[in-house]
Parts: sequence; C-alpha cells; structure tokens
Amino acid sequence: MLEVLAAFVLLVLVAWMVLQPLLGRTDRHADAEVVDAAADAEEVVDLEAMIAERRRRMAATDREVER
Amino acid sequence: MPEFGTFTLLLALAASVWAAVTGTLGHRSGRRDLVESAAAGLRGALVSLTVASGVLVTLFLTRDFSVRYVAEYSDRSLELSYTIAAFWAGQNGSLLFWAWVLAATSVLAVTLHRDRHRELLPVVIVVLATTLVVFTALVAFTSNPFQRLGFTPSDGAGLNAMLRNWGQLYHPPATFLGYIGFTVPFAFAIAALVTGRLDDEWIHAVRRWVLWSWVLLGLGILLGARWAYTELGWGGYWAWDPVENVSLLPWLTATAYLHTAVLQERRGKLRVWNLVLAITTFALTVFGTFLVRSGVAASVHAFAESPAGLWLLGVIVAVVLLGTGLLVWRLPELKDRSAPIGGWTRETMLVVTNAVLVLYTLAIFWGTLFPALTNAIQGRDVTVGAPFFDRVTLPVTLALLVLFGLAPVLAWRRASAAGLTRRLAVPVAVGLLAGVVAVVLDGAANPMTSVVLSLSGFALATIVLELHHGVHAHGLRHPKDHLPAFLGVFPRNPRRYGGALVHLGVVLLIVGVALDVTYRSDERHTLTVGESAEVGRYTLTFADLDTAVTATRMSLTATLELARPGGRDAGTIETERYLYANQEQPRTHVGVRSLVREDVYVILEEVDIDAQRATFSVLLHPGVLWLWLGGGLLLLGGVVAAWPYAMRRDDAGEPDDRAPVTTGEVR
Repeated sequence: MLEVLAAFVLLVLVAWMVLQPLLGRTDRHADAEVVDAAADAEEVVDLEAMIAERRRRMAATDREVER
Repeated sequence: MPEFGTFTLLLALAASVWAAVTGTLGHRSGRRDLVESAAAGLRGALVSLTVASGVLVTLFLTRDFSVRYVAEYSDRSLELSYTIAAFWAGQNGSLLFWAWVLAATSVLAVTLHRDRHRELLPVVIVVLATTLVVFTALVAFTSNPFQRLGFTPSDGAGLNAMLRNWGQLYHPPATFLGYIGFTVPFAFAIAALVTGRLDDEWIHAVRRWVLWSWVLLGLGILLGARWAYTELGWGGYWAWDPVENVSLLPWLTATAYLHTAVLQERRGKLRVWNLVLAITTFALTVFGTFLVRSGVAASVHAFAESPAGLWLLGVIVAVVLLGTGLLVWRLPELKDRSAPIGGWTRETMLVVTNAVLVLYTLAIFWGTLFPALTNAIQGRDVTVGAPFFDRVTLPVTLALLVLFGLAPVLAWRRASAAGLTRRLAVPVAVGLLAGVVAVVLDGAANPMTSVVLSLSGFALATIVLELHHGVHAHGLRHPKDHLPAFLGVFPRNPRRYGGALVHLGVVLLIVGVALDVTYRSDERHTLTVGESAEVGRYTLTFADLDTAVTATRMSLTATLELARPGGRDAGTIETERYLYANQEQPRTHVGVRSLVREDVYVILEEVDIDAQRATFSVLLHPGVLWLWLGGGLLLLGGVVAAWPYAMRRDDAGEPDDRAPVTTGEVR
C-alpha cells in the first residue's frame, strides 16, 4: 500500500515538474526575459550616452586647442 | 519494494522520452516553454532515478535476497561500505548507476548553460535526453536490478573477494563519472552541427566539461591500476586487458581534443577535427561499455554476455552515422580558409601531438578489437598481448617526451632559429647529462631505457624552466615570498601552468615505468618464522605467522620485517592469504612497502602452519613510487586547469607570445 502511495506521489511530482512550464510558469520566465532585455537595453542607452558625452568633450577640447 | 523500483525506472524512461520529444518540438518551433518542459523532463528523470538508486541501496541494506541482484552480489557478512558499493558491482546495478549519473550530469549541464548558450541548449537537451532514454530503457528492459528470484534464499552469494577492496569503492564511480561527463561535449558538438553555430561557442561551453571528465577518467584509470597492483598479486599495474584499453581510448582522444581545441580558439584551425574528436570520444565511452557487457572480450572486468551489448552496439552505430552525416552536411561551412600551419611553431607541435595521440588510439583500438574480429570472421582464437602494445607504446613515449621538451619553447605563428637555440640549450644539456648518467650507472646494458631517461631529462628541464619563469615573473611583485609566487602562477594562467603540471606528471610516470620494467626483480624464498633472506639490498625477516578464523572468513597473515643495508629498520610488511566461507578460491593480499628507490612487494604463496614455514614471492619494483606521484601530479594539473578561480585570470584565450618560455597548454 505504501509503495502504491509512493509511486502515485512520485508520478504526480514528475508530471507537475514537466507540465508546469507549459501551464503558466512561462509567464515568470517571460517576465525574467523582459527584465533581462530591459537591462540590456538600459546598458545600450548608457553606452550611447557615454559615447555622446565623450564625443562632446573631445569636440570641446578640439575647439579649445584651436582657440 | 522491488516493484516500486521498476516503476521508478519506467517513470524515468517516460520523463526522458518527454524531454527528448518536447526538446525536439521546442527546437523546431522556437517555443521556450517547450524547451523549459524538456529541461524539466530531465529533472524528472533525475528525481525518478535517484529514488530508484535509493530503493536499490535500501534493498541491499535490508538484505532482501528475494531480489536476484541483491542475492548475487551481497551476503549477510558484507561490511556496510561494500554493501553500498555492491550497487555498481554487477551489470544491472552499474547500468542504473550510469543512468543516474547521466541524469545528474544532464541536469547540471542544462542548469549551467541555460543563460549563456540558449541557441544550442534545445538540441543539447535532446541529445542528452535521447542518451538517457537509451540507458534507462537498457536498465528497465534488459538489466533490471529489481528482478525477483521467485524464492528467498537464506543468504546471498556474496561479493567476489576481489571486489572487497577499497578500489571497488572509488574506481568504478570515478571511471563512470569520467565516461559520462564526455556526453556533454558530444551533445554540444551535435548541437553546433545541427544549429549551424559552428564558431567557438561550443568549444568554450565544453572546455571545463572535457577537463573534469578527463581528470575523473584519469583518476579512475589510476585507481584501477593501483587496485590491480595491490590486489591481483602479479606485481603489475597495467595488463593491457581489453577493458583497461577501452578506458584509455576516450582518455587519449580527449587529450588530443584538449590540444587541438586551443588551435581552434586561437587560429580558427581544425574545426572539423575538433568536432570529430568530441563525437569520437563519446562513441569510445559507449564502446567501452559495450565491450564490458557484450561478452566480446575476455577480461577480468567483463560481465556476463547480455542483450545490453547489442543495444550499445546500436548506439555506437547511431552515433557514428549521425556524427558523420552532420559533418558531411556542414562541411562547406567548416572549410578552413586561413593560412596553413607549418614551420617550427607551436601550432605544428600541437598538430604533431594530436597525430601521435590519435595514431596511438587507433593502434590500441585495433589491438583490442583484433581478437574479437578474427574470432567472428575466421572462427580462430587469436590473442594480442602485452608485447604488441609495448612495441606500440615505446615510440609513442619517445615522441611525447620530445614534444614535451620542444613544444613549450616554440612560439605561436613564428619561429626564430636564434631564439630556439637559446631556449633549448639548457634542456638539451640536461637531457644529455641524464643520458650519460643513465648509461654509466646501467653499464650500457639497456640502451633504450637510457634514451627514455635522457629524453625525460630534456622534457623535465623544459617544464621546470617554464614554471621557474612563471614564478620569477610573478615573484617580481612579491620578491620575498617564494611560495605565494609559486602558487600564484596557477590562477594567473591555469591553462599554461596546469598544462605544465600535467606534462611534469607524465614525465615522472614514464620515468617510473621505465625504471620498473627495466630493473624489476623477482625472487622466491621459503622461510621458517625467525629466518631471514637477502633481497636485493634489503634483509627480509619472517617475524610472525598469524591465523584468524571467523564464521565467514579464514586467513593466514605473515608479518615480515624489512631492514636496509647496515640493519637500519625499513618498516614491516604484512601479506595475507584468505578464504571466504562462501567462495571457492583462496586469495592473497599483497604486502607492499613503498620506498623512494623501490617498492618491496611480497606475496604469500604457500604456508605450512605446523612447521611455521611459508613461501614468499618477493618483487622489487624500482621507481614505482614515481609512477603514482606522476599520475597524481598529472591529475592535479588537470584540476588546476579546470578550476573555476574567483580571481581575475588571463585564460580567456589570448596568446601570450611575450613570455620568455611558453608551454603547451591544457585548455
């Protein structure tokens, strides 16, 4: 009897494990992907801002030198 | 309980089939949820196989002899450690152990690579899951360890006396872990071919997998050699037994891969060859399993012939066909358009090393399979013994020693004759000196041994100089602390200095074997208690003979006292002859005293209890200690190269041509 119960519990556990991603858990995963993508995008924006800032400073230095 | 065990096997099979199917659908459709479900399938299989393994161990611990496997491999007198190790003592249990470790390895691989290698992962999961399907089905349908006997004997047959050794606790698990680890590089290689992502991504992904598997398989082989040395009582550590050979084959191809993968990373070379080596290494691990379980080879390791062998043969054929087909399909994309390798450069040496290792693998493969093929085709029994393998091994050893000494002093891409001469001066001088010393001490009786020792000196000098340069460069920052400077070089460039340690270990191992095979001696002495005999430079005194009888075991233990010249004590040696009540053949525990110069190895052959007299075989094995130290150092080098250091390090693949001396690297 105990063995049948253990087999049932194990079956339910494994079934729950493999079906969970197909029954909604993906939302959490998708959220994580969105967060990742947002973080990546933020990094790109930061990088672009940094490049713009660097170019602005170089141009200012060039103007200073010309003067 | 056994029925529950069978259920867990079937559940694991279902979960791995699910993983293979949803992984394939996920790869084809690009749906992440399906891939996630496939990964969960692998986890489900791991949970089921963990429970299955727990059930089998419980059956052993509760002495449930109604289960055939438990009755065949244990009895009531078996100690706890061997009762647990009986899990992998026979074919059925060892296949379950294999499936369980494969599931754990697959889950670990998917967890570690899920973020960095998303494109490859679906196919990796499919390959791992399919392999798991095969092994789980094999256990469930051909080698079920939960089969009942139909009656319950009062006691089991017991574990074979030869397996009641510490080796049984560690050698099989280490070997299996090594074998199974090579499944992950195989899965990534197939994934690269299927997805067309043929750049260095898969090479980076599998670097540590190959290294750790290489270390574990090497550890398994070394532990097996030590086990044979201390248990079998023939004084050897390597018998060229077919199953020993097949464990060496994937280890050699993995070693070849570790050398050529560097070429792909740094020069974009040998991309096809690296894929071939990754696939071949896996195929050879399955070949090893096949040989043990098919009844094809007569071996001390072999299990009884079973249908499992045919399944495994099918896997090998499938792997070869799949690998070849995918490679042919992707060949146009893998064409190498860069400048060819040539000249006295590091690249050339790596290619030559690779050729030597692969030819050696082919020779051992052929020598191992030849008797079985001859038997199958011509019906004749042919034996390929140690002389063939020794003849093949000698030139390989010489070539490797030359490469160890030469390759590290060569730079990448370019060669300068002046620089080369300067860098080689010291190693060549040391090599010549070692050769002269060997000839003088040996009286020119064994010229080939002198050549091996001379080349070992050459290689050793290059490696030590390499380490010295590294320590010196690092020590400039810590001028007073030599030990931190020495230890500090390894995390700074684990590949380079890990590789140096591996090469150092191999050289020590070669020196140990060369000294042993040339100068070992074997004597027989019959002594009464209190009598002494001269053995080489030692005096051996038979001090005591002890008899012990229990309900399950009878043993005779001889204690011998060893003295160096001048009567200085060199310790005691105990050797035992014993018989288990439920076994027919008495066995011997060898007595070994390891000294720096040699091992004194004593086997108790015959005993006359009434006369207190015994006959001993006494073998002197010079240099054997160096063999074990070299083997240990070799594995340590692998660990150094594979270790995930927390600190910053320059192992990201940038060549360091500025270093005064550079070594061949383990990636």
